[in-house]
This record gives sequence, structure tokens and C-alpha cells, in this order.
Amino acid sequence: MARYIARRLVSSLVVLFLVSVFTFLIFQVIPNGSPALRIAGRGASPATLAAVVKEWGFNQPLYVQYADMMEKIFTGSVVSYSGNINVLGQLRAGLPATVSLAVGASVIWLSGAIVIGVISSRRIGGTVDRLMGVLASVSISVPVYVIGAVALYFLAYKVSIFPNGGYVPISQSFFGWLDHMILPWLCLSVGFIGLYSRVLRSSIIETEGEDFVRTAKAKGLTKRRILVHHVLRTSMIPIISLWGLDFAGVIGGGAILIETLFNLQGVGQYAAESIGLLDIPPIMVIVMYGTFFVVLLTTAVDILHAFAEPRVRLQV
Amino acid sequence: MTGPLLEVEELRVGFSSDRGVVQAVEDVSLELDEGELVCIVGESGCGKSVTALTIMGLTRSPTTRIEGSVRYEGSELLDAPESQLRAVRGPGIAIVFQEPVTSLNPVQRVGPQIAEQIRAHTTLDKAETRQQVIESMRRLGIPQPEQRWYAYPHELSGGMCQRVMIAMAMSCSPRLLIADECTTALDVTIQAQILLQLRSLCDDHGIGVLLITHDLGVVAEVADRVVVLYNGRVVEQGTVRSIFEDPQHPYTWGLLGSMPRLDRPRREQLLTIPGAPPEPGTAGGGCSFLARCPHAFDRCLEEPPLAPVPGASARESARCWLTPDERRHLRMVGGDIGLAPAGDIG
Amino acid sequence: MTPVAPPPLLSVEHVGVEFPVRSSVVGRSSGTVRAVDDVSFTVADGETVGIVGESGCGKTTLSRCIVRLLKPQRGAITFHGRDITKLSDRALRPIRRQMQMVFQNPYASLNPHRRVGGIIAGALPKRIGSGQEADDRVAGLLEKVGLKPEMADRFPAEFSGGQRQRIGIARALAAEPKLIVLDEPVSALDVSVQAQVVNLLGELQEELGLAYVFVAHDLSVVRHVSDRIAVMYLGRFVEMAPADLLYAEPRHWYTRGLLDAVPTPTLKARRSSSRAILKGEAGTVLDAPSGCAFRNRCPGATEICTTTVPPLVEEPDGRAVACHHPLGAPGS
Repeated sequence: MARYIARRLVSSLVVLFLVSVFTFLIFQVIPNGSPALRIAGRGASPATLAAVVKEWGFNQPLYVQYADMMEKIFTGSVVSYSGNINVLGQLRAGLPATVSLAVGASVIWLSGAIVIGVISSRRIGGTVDRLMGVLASVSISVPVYVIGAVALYFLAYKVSIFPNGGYVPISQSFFGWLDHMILPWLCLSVGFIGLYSRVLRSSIIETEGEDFVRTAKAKGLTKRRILVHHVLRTSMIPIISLWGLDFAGVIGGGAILIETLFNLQGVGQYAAESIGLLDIPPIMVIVMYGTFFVVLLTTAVDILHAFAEPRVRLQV
Repeated sequence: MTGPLLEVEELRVGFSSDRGVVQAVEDVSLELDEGELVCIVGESGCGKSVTALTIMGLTRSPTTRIEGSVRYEGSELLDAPESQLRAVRGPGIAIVFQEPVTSLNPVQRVGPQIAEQIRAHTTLDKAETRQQVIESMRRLGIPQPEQRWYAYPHELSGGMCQRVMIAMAMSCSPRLLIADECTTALDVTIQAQILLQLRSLCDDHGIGVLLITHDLGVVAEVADRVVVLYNGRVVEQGTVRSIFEDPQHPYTWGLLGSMPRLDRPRREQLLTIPGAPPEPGTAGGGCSFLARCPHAFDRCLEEPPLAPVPGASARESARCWLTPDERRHLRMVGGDIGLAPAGDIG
Repeated sequence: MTPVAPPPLLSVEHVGVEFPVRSSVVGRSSGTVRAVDDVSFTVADGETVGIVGESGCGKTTLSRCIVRLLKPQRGAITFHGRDITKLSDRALRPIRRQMQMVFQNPYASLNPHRRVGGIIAGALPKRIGSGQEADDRVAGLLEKVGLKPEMADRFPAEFSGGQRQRIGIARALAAEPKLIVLDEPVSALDVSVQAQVVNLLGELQEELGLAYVFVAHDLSVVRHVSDRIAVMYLGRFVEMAPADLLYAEPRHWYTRGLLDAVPTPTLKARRSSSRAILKGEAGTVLDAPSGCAFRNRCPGATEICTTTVPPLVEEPDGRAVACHHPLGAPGS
């Protein structure tokens, strides 16, 4: 087991390094024109430009530039030039909203998917199963911003059940926080529930045909115990792997649309605004941190997976 | 107790699918007493495994049609509610399957998998259960059971997994053990060890064992009585001595003649049955062995009943229109099928 | 001067196959394991050599080596007087025609998208081409293996397991081979069908003068078809002898254990007290004990067995045994 973890960590480090190199190349090397000009933003004065060139070392060789940029990113000293604000500070400010969104939504989508997946798998091809199948296809194919916009229009504007966007920190008011988060949570979850419940359903069906489930029945266990201890435990494995990717994706900027729509002032919205202003430093930092987070969480999920499924340890 | 431990009567099992109903078991009747080892023998698709699973109620599903009767200790199991079946599975009837590795849950350690069954049927606490599991593992010759408790199935060999399965099956002291091709996937030396253990379950603990196999060699080693299945029907049943010394049905003759044997000359032509075993549920009219039988005559267009063998003990019967004299004659003409005088069997 | 014996059709000398074992953190191979270790035997024209052993003993690896689907790291394989151990695939092609292989799984070894006739015709020698002559050949081969010539137009899925194995044999015969290596050819088949295929193999051998290497785990089938039998245990031959002799007087403890374990469909052998049941299990080459690999299961093992691997020693009566204390020897 320790060997598996060590090996997995080594390969993650390699991926992280490659990601950083690619990000560096994308933002500094590949585009035409002076990177300094892009960092400083449109209409920057020649003085600012000169300062940027010196500050970022654009006159240095590439590997020095790479090292400099990594140092800046990881010491948190990147400053957005258009607003002259420290990027890390902005990220810190946006993180609670983004984490609230991701954690809350993933709790909803996981529990929703388990309930619906299990119900669908109880009677394969039954009315409930087929209805859930149709709903799942719809929820997967409708874009999240359409669901969000429709929900906002009806539930916040037409009938004011929920606030019309905005974010209230949990430290300030728990119920305010909850009130502002429910709609974004649900909107973000809908598509995931559709996908996850279908994946779980087919995973359950597959597991129920396994020999060891027949053994469990032959042991005289109750249906519930067979479902929970033998079927679900195995069927959940693909779900957990998927969840690791999606959760990290949401935190690492995947919630751009929902955050902007509901004006949550999170990391995603910050990224969206920076893109609008062509403010390169924040985008670079968010991309780097986002991908790092995805890689780290995937690694963690894989290691958890190895605990849940001992056979994995033999592979790789 | 009076009466047999298990009685199966005119069992029929059909699976419906898009292409209609596949009748996997057409007509199976058998009885099994305490301390007796009965073998069901037949080739693939003859319905032997479906029969075993149906006795345990493991073929129940909305698409399965089950008719007939399965009585365990006199009480009917076929239409019994799930709760009654659950109480029988484990402490009453236990089963061991063909594929030992996949029959164990791959993500659970083997100790807790055995313990789970004990916990489901008794009120023992954790420590007592553990004690009992380790004891039953030790009885089956699993070395270092305390350490094996923590092993995952993939860390054990096939033979060891099968011992774990048997230990699990025996953990609630069942009165009937069904072994479904439980040595087929194992090496011969391991098979010999496990067969010996099954035999001692009957002799030393009075457990009834229903052993399902395709291997007449295995039958000869351990069986008390034999039920020969063909195409979902019992074609012959009798004591192990009568099956090997005085087999009544041409299919049994064919099976016996098909096996290469260590005590026969090499390269001698094996007696074969032409054609291949039929797909389940393809029985036409008449005797189901008609198409492959070298001795068929016009009467075989009508299905023969499972009739007692004249002059033999009860529970010996065959499904064939040939008269006993004809059978004796044809069998000799068809070749000496190993009717060597048996040594002392007991 | 003794007369010079004709060279054998196939000769395998000190062949060894190693596989890398991964165990270190970075996945580099940290060592090798010998799946086949120092195996030697010969096959004469028209002879059947059986190789028997339990799962994981290396018999399948060895059979793949003989037809050079695998390249052995050690030893030499000579076929028809030509060393084929190191030949390239290209150079092997004409030789492969003369040594065919039939596999265990008749379902997986036939291309499901080709008609049976095409499968068999594809193995015919080049000079026959693809015209009427090829069709006639295919029809003849199908008849030879007990199938109807008109079945050439069907796909493998339309056949039963036994029929598919017959098609596999017909394909092997199409190349007009001198040697066929059969890897568990009947173990996936039902008893009644197994007997048909065993009989067919015997008839073909008589008619065409084929040599077989018959690899299987079932000792009664192997003994039935073989002239000589090699018993394999964890990568090595532990005993090799003429079939009847091996059965009548096994010299190796493992051979005796195997023979005792084989279930025979007679009541004679039933639970007789003379039968010794081997204890323990073979395990894998990875965790084999030092010295003789069988010593941890062997009732006759002594000190020397823990230190020294017994060599396969040939005896005057044509058999060979690898044991420090062979059965039937004085003082054992």
C-alpha cells in the first residue's frame, strides 16, 4: 500500500510539473507580441510597461523566467496590473463562496444520485426507471446557465422565494448564507444528478449479477444488507472517482457560469471578470491553482480508491 | 426425523426472455437423507446448476417460472416467503459455488465475510463470532486462520478461496450442503483434498451433501447415490454401485465410455456419444436422448417415464423404453464400459 | 559402434523462459522469475509427447515456446534439424507451417467475422492458391475432421464448442504440418464431446503420421493419447517416462501424488487406504522453496532437498526423474 501511494504521488508530481510548464508556455511564450504588454493590460503607460518587463524578467532567458514566474505564483506576490490588487488576496476573498458552492452542491448531487440510482435499479425497465432515464437525459443536456437563468426568473424574480443572487458569508449569517446558496446548489447539481444516477444504476445492475452477490443471498442476509454492504459498496467506486474529478473541477474554476449568474463573488466569477478585462495575472494564477487542485484531489481519490478496492494496489 | 432431509419433486424451471421461455429444468425429482452424499451428474446445459440454485431459491425472479415442489425437512420452499428462505439459507442449507475467487466479495476481507453469516443467524457477539470463524477455518485446514482473517480473496489461491467458501458454508452448521461443481476450477491434488473433506462432512457430521459435477470420476470417488441429468430431465438414478456396475440408460453408458481411464489400455477407441449436448430447452417430442441414442427404436418417439428398475432397490429408476434384458444385452454389445468388478465399497 | 538414431523431429534443449517481476516503487523490474527452467526433451516423427502439470507449472509457456510464439532466453529449440531458437518472425514463417498449434478455447481462437471455409483456406500452402483446388481442399479437411463440407459457408458462432475445436484442428491440418502442439485441446469440452475429439486426434495421427505435443492438466486424457509423458512442476520437468511405465511405476513423489489424485470412474479406487493425498498446494514459481521446488509437499524430503535442485537423471529404461530419493530405488 505504501508503495502504491508513493508511486501515485511521484506520478502526480510529474503531472504538476508538466502543467506548470504548459501554463507558462501558453501565457508567456506562445502568443505573439510582448507578454509584458498583455500583463500590463491595454493602454498601460510606457513606464508601467518598463516596470513590468523588469519585474517579470522578460529580458531574461526562458528557464529563468519560468523559475521567476513559479516563485511569484507560489509566494503569492502576483499583482493584477489593471487594478493593482494582489491576486492571492482576491482569491482568498472568493474562496469561501466557491467552496460553499462546491461542497453543498456535491452533497446534494451525491445523495440525490444515490437515491435516484438505487430506486431506478430496483425495477429495471419499470415506469419509474424509464421516467428517471428521460429526466436524466434532459438534465444532462440542458446547459447549466439556462437552468440557472430560468430558476432565477421564476423563483427569484417572478415569485421572490429566493434572493436574486449575491453571497452572504456563513460567519455573518447562517440562514442568509443558506438562503443565498440553495438555488445555485440545486442548479449546479441537476446535471450531475442526472449523470451520476445513471452511472450508479448501471453499476448496481452490473454488480448484482456478480457471483459474490449470489453468495451473499445464499448466506441468508436481508435484502437491505446485501444492497448496502455488498452491492452499493462496490457500485459506488465509479461514482467516487467521478466525484473527485467534478468536485475539483468546480473549485478550480468550473463554476464560472453559475457564480457569475448568481453573482456569488467566488473564484469563478473573479476569473470571468479577469477574462473580460484581459487581465492576465489573475487568470494565470487561477489556472495554475485550479489545475494543481484537480491533480491533488484526483490523487487523493485514487488513494482512497485503493483502500476501497484492494485489487487496484496490484496494478499500476 | 422421519422422511428425507430434502425432497425435490417434478421440478420445472423456465426462464422467459425476448425469444420465449427457455425450459432449463424439465422434470427433476430426487431425495436426499441425512449423512448421505448424492451426486447430480450431467453435461453443460443439462440443468444441474439451475436445480441446485432453485433449491436455495436463488433463481427466483419475475422472469422465472418455477413449478413442482422442493421440501426441506418436510416444509415447502418453492412458495415460501423470503423471510422463511432467509432463515433456511445458512443454518439449514448452504451452498458452495464453482468459481471460488469471484464468489467472494473482492473488497472485503475473508474473515468478516464468514462472520457476516454467523452474525445474521445467531446472537453471538463480535468476539465469539470471530472465535467461531477462526475455528471453522482451522477445521478446513486453512493454515494460520488468525492471519487469513485479514486476507482479501485475490491474495489467496483458488483452492484456499474454496476452503474459505466451504468454511463459510459450514459456519452455521447446516444440515444440507450443496456443492455446485466446487472442485472443477481447482487442480487435481487440491480437488482430492476437498473431496475428502466433503466426504468426512457426511460420515463424521451427518450432513447431507448434494454434489453437482460433470465428472464421473468424482462421482465414483465420493457418491452414495447418483442422479444422471440430461436435457433438464432425470434419465437415471441409483446407488453409486448400480450406476457403475449396472447402468440402465444408454446416456450413462455413453458417459462412462467417453472417459479416458488410467486403468484401460492407451489409445483404445473411446466409446462416444454422437453429436453434442442439446441447448437447454430444446427438447422436442419423445425421449430427449433420441437424437444421440444408438439404440433408439420407434417407441422412443414417445417420452419414456422415469420407471423403477425391476428387481433393484427402491430409489433406482431409469427413463428408457428398453427392457432390462435388452439393456443388459446392448450394453455388452456396445462395448465393455468399465463394469469391472468393484472392490469393497462401504 | 551403435547405430546412429535418426535426428528427432523436435528437440528442446535446456530451455528457460524468464519473466520480469515488478516490485520496486518506480515499476522497474527488480528481478526475473523462471516460468520454465532447464527443460529438455525430444519428439520423434509420429510420436505423441504429453506434458502434464497443474495450473501455473509453466506448461502453457513451454508450449508457446515450442512454436516460438515466445522466445526463450536460454537453451535451444531445433525443429527438423534447424535451430529455430533465435529466428526472426519472417524466417520462421515457412517453418511455422510445419508446426501448428491448437488452443484451449475454441471460442476465442477463431476469427468470428470470417467464414469457416475462409479460416481454413487461409492456412493452406501458398501453391494451392484460392481457386477450385482450395475449395476442394477445404471440403476434404472438413470431412476429415468429421464436419460436412457445406459448413464452409458458416461463421464460427454457428458451431458448438466441439465443432469449433474440430475447425481449429482442420485449420492446423490445412498447413500440412509435421507437428501439432495442442494446448489443453479438450478441457473446455463436455465429456461426450471430449471423447470424440480425442478419438479424432488419434485417427488423424495414424492416417497422416503427425507428431503431437499434448499439453493438459488431465492426467487420464494425457495418458490416453501419449507415448511418453513429462510431468512438470513449477517450471521444471520432474519426471519423464513412457506412458505406461509412468502410470505403473511412478518414480517421482509428485507423479505418484498426481496419479492418486486423479478421479477414475471406477469403484476400485474408492477411498482405498493406499491412496496418499498430497498435502498443501503448488503455489507459484514466485514463492517456490529453495532446492527442490516440491520438497515442502513431499513426504520423502530430506536435508539435501532443501539445498540442492535435483537434476533430471536419465535411466537406462528410457525414463528420467529429478529426485534425490526416487520411489522404487533401493533405500527409499
